Amino acid sequence: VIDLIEVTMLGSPGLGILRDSAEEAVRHRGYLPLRVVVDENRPVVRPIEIVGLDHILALYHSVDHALTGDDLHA
Amino acid sequence: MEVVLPTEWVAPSIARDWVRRWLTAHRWSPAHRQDLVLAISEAVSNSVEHGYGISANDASRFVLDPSLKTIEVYGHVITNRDGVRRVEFTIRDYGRWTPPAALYPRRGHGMMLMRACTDEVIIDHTPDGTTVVLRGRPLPRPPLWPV
Repeated sequence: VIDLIEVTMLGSPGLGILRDSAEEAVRHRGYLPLRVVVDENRPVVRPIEIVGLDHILALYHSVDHALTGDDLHA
Repeated sequence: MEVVLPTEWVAPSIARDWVRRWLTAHRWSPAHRQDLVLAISEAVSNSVEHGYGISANDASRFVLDPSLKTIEVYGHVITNRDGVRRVEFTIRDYGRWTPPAALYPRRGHGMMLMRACTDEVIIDHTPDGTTVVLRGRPLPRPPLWPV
């Protein structure tokens, strides 16, 4: 689980790490998909949407939801 | 606005602070401001990484001759006759452009972010460096007094 709630700025290096980490998790059998916690924080949500990572990442609104609940696509 | 940045990985962060403060002083709306800060940050990152060839994993390296190798950021506000304002930024470096594919075959988020966050992105590569012009989206004229 990656918690981005306190993050104030997300650019291409951070997006690259998120994508690489998500793909890394998928490659390992037995690993759960990478879960990413975001709230309504526009400087973080917008870059994720621009590059289309919102379709790849399992997004949650809180760490609790990431650990227990359904993601935002559900 | 005119800032000269060192060619190190601290440059994007310095540029973000300057642009954020400058646009706030010019009463740019938060959403427009955030988009422009991100676009400029990406352009400056490109100059560090692809202009001067400093790897993202190599945060400590910097160019030894700071008088020659800098990244310059200029910004100015253009006001139309009808009061609609837009901002134009120019980011200039004096490095040798290394195509992103040569460094990271799977990157390319930077261009996508710059295009999405501005009206227009113009990139001019020459043997002496790269100039990027970022044209912001138009912003209606702010009220002359608080309403």
